[in-house]
Amino acid sequence: MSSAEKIKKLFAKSAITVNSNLDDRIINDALTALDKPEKTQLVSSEPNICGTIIKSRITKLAAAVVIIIAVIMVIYQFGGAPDMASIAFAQVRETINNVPWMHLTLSVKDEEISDSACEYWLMPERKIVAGRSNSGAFWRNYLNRQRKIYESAANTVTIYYERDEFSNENEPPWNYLSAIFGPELLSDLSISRHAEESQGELLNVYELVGKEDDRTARFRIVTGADDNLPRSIKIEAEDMQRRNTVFMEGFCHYPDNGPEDIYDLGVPKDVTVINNLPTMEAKEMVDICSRYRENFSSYIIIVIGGDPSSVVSGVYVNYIDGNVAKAGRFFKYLHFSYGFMFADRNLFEKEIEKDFDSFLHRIEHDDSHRPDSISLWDGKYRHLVRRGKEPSYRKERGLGSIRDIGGYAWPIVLPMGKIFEDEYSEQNNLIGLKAMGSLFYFDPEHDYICVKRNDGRLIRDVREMARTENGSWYPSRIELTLIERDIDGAEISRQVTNVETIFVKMVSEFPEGTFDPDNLLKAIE
Amino acid sequence: MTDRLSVMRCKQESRDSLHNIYEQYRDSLLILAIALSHDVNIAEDAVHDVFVAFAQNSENFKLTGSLKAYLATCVANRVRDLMRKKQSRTKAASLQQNCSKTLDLRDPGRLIVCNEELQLLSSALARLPYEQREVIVLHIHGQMRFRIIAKSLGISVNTVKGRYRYGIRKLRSILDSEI
Repeated sequence: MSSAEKIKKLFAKSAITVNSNLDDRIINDALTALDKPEKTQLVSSEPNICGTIIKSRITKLAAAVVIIIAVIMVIYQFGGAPDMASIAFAQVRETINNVPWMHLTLSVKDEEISDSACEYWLMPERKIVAGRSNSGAFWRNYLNRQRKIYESAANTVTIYYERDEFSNENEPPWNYLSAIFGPELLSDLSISRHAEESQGELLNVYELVGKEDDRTARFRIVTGADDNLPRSIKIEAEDMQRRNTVFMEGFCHYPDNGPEDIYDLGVPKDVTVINNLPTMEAKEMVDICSRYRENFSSYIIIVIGGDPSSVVSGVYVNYIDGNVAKAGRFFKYLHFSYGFMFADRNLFEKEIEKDFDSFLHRIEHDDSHRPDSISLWDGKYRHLVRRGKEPSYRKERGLGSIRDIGGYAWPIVLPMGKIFEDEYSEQNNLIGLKAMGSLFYFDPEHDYICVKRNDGRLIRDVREMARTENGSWYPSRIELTLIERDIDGAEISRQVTNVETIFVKMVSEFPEGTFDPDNLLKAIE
Repeated sequence: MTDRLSVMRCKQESRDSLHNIYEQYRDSLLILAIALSHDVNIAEDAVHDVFVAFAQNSENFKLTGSLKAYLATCVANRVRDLMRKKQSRTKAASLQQNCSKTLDLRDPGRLIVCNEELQLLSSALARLPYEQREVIVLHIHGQMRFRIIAKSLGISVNTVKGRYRYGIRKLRSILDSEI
């Protein structure tokens, strides 16, 4: 047998057993990324992520804009000790917040793509960002959540509902910057400042340098010494694959007026307009869901997941308190076991119903019932510890796998859908909403809980509901049915693959130290 | 569901379609990443990162070939990047500590538990230079043609074939003593 055949044979026989904790981590993070495109790009699976972003016609301008915004407004946060240069640079951001408009012309040079140039406007007070290049234009108003994209090739203006929040310290700029240059490169920036004179004007020059191994990113920002406003910005950085270097250079001006609409950017007024804004009815439905979600501000939720034959595959215990949350996950595996577990769902459910408080007390204080992983969401970061032979701690952005009642009862549906009626909604007195490629059915008699969601392949049915002490409804038993279809879309089979049982208890006081990251770290010591 | 349909559905923000893609390719990609890196932590992170990036780019993603090959290439790229970072970081660590550290891929405390065949395979491949390992794994496990590998790695077909040939030759002596 040849070596190649031996290798083939070994590959064919290779097998792995994957802990569902890994599935949970990957799927949840991927779904978060799917829900928030252009917002959580964390890694470079493409040969060159900067190229990927810049090559995309629609995102080209937006990417350039956020890079510049990030450099000006956010980057100082990554610096080390708050020295004088960092403090002075922070003041630059404050001055930009007070200008009526900022105008920036930008050229981008990337070895892998042809050079490009664009210009953009920023209106900090009204949170407007606009830009144009040869391929089109965009105009985003973050206050009324409208995004308009003009594509010159198609001669269309498309109006979208704006998903992103605009905030100086919010995630998009950080994520873009992080995606292009890598988080490590930006985590230890050094900032220096020196004075220069040009054409009789005194200038401050800020040099920001980030290094990771043999990779370097340099940012040079020139501001007026008197007004602190940026005059020019230069960026030079190797991408994460070290395959090429990206150069960006921009010049800033501060006019009194800017584009009040996309048509002020030179877009012809006779273009075809495609309106993708939500209907009023759909928006109302989404607002209702949002209000009911807010009723649950401080609570404990226990979710028991498993197959329909009553075998429990995972138990989640989450504390939610406003903007902070703590989540623990408990498992048992076929091949080995650790942590806390009831193998039989029926026994477990009875135990919970009988003594909810003692269950919580036990998992908090009894070492033999410790969870295998704990996440803590502090409103900004998720602190995640994993136990086991090689305990680990990670700090990440994003909620990750932390579950809340909203995800089960009032899913966050972007208000782009349309209200519809069908036989199922009529028979059950439900409100149907078609959005994001799925059909949602809301029950107005039970706090508008989404009792059914069908995306054509997976159906999520609320089979039972329960009420909290204060009378709020929540789904207490949910079935997931998988539909198998052939290539033409015809249904081949459907099968219930998972059953989730949910217990919710409203609480006003949480265990002391529950939301303290230091306590979380002690869990792996 | 075919690759193209999966991607189309994923583009339409079909969460479960993404789930489907993940379930369909998870094991294959993890095995590929383990074979390349001989490190389950890197394998976990690489597959994680690739799926997050895939979901992120799904709106603009155009599938021109096999989805499996595309994902395999992404994982290989990511593994290379993570290994490079890890190597740089461990330079400062004790050399002795690094040399004496052996990976127990069967450790039940891990998120991924490998069978004996995969451990053997991974150990054997770990003795090859990464470039040769990459070509062998993508060709044999990823079922990618040399021409496709060359295109995705940005090198010539002859270079790919050379790496494959040298790699297989070295594996011969390793495997003859271990299989």
